[in-house]
Amino acid sequence: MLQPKRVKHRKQHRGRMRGRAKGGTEVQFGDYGLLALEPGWVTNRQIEAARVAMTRHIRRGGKVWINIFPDKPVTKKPAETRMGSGKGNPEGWVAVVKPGRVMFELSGVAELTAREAMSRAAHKLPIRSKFIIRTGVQE
Amino acid sequence: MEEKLTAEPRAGAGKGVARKMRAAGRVPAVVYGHGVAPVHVSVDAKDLYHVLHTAAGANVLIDLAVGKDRVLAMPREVQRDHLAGRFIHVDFLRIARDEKIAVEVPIHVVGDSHGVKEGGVVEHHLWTLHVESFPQDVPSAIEADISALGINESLHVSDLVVPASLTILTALEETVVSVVTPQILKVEEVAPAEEAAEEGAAEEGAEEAPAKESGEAEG
Repeated sequence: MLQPKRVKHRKQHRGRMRGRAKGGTEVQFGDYGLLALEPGWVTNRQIEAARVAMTRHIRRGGKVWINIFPDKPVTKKPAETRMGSGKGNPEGWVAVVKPGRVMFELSGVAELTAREAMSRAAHKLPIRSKFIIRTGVQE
Repeated sequence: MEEKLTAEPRAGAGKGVARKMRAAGRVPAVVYGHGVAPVHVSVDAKDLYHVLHTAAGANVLIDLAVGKDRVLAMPREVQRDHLAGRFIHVDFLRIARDEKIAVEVPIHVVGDSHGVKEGGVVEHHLWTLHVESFPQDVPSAIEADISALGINESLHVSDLVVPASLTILTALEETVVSVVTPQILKVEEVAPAEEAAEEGAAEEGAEEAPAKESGEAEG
């Protein structure tokens, strides 16, 4: 699963997810993309589940790009612990996604197959998303 | 053949004026080029959509009526709102028929590569070609024929067939399309007899993973 090799600080503040994505808003590598419609944290497990769902559907012949990387550590306090006593332990990794971000890209398959593959991937994600086609892709 | 579009000069500038304009169904735009001072205008959003979706593609010639003047222009930069699917702003570049301009022309892949039939994957690297030509000679797209490509072969800019009126500005050695071996095939080539067994094992392994995830989430 995706996660950073090493980090400068083990724990981060949660932060805010205001506004829209300011980069990665267009399909750069493939023919088709999955565009985020709302902000959210996408965990490395969700990214992997989406990738597996997509690659299983296209079987062979296509190519998948993952444009988001889970570089933010999330912490969790142990169960039945009283509040206080500092921040919890790192439990996983998430990618911060803002509306307008192209999260996955796909190429080398027909549009119908790409739509279904992206739909299966979208079901693994915690945010609403939509299928987009690169500008200038001929049918 | 140029498309007709009417633009109205706009008095104000800035985000407040622009937002009101967009809410009223108009798109803020600017007309510049040829040493003439830039003119801030606005165009109807629906008309602009129709003009930008003709057979000429993105490099469409526009007969722009700005007040009483008529300007031959070409859209240079079109800013879109990717979520709402509407236009934010458009740049119109003044052009002259007897002056060459540099434009980006989309590359369309045509033909069926025999490399794909053998199991290869088409990788499209270069999507547009930077060319110089007279405005009326700009094609809507340039076709890249990949029918002769086998696995691990590439088509370069120098291999493209372009009209004689175009001068290619993109580096000739750049790769346009290549047909490569997919990673799944690389595994199968090692042990073709065990293909079925491997696939079965992979599916079982992948099915176990989500079950484990859900178990952990519940705990």
